[in-house]
Amino acid sequence: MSIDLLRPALLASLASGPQHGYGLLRDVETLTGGRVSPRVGSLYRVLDSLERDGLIVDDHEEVVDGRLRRYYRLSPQGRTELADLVDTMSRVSSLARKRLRVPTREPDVGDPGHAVIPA
Amino acid sequence: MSPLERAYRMLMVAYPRSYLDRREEEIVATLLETASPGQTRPTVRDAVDLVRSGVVVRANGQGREARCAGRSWAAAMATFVVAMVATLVVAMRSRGFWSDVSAASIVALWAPLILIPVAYVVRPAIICNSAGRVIAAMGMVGVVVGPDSSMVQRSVMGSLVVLAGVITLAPAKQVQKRTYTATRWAAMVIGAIAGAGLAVRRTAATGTVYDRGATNVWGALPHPPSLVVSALLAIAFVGLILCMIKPAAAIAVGLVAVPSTIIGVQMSSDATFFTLQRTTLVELTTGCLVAASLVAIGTTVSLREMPIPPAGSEARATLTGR
Repeated sequence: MSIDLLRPALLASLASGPQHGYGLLRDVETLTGGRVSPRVGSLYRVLDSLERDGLIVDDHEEVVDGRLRRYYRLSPQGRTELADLVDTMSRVSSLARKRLRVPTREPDVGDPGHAVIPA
Repeated sequence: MSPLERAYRMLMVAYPRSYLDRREEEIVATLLETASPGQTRPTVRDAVDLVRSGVVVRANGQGREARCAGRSWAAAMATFVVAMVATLVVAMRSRGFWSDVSAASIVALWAPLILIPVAYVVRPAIICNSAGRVIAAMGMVGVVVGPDSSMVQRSVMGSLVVLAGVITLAPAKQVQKRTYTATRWAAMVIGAIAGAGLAVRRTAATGTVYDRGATNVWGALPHPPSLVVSALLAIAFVGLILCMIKPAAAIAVGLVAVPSTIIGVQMSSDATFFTLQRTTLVELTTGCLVAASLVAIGTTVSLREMPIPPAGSEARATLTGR
């Protein structure tokens, strides 16, 4: 579950501007209310894959107390992807909310609760 | 360097070198930031996650080099398995299951002799291809199931297996470098001399040449010396993998592998303690150990020749200068 949320959470975190690894970790925890708190190795694996897909790019590097910090930012493609993702997720969540309110109801043709989610 | 940082860096051995060149400093910095104050050891979760991530990155390898390294790693495993299967074949033959495999074994014996130099001259990068692995495996089988009992042939084959092993296991990054090539050729010559030396020594000590018909590898197992030889084989195997993962570990591997080889040979020479019936196993162990040592030496020497990875940025330059 947590690994599925990590990708969107990272993109969402980067939407506010360039961020480095540790900053992303903190931000993801805050964004998800502590439900997603990836280990460092997993974080970088997801960053690798986001980079490979062209959704994020290196912004700049800093050396703080002799330690390297690499900042990442969203690419234009990443922004589009995040916007799409947010759209889909909000559809899913509003649908889910609707269904949860009336959990035992029989399925009904033409019910907006059973509409197909556009891709 | 704090103990915690050292521990993190040790765990990161699981990642391929090319990945570490780019990411190591950054990941270590992030790890240290997530550590709680006063922490001296990585948490179990972090350790597991790091090793797992390293293996995943290795397996998915980005770029040609990383994939080569990943495949070499798989090849080391495959070679080991082939060696084990070959030992089994010898054991079966000795019990009469497989009395005549001469045609196959002759091909296995001589094909590498022709294929390796040709492949190497035509295309040094062949070591990145599966062809190199096939040749290595064939050489290994050739040594074990070879129909001859000639010491000279055995030494030649031994050195070829060593060469194939060194070529197969060499980090892809260094493949094209002429200096490294020279180092590996030198390693092969040393291997040939060492192989011949070992054979002469063993023959002189026992006064007998190999008698394939009498080979019965498993008959006396578990026999204490056999267990020791198995342990030596395990050491060699671990050593080979270590060399692949971390060239810097090659020095330590060499230090362990060379004495192990000597002990193994000594034990096999002592006919009263460890009879000739188990020479095949010993031979195999010795071959692995010599190969491990040579990879160790070759890699260590070549490390000095390697250029510092290209500086990516100012920050990187600051770090390397630190």
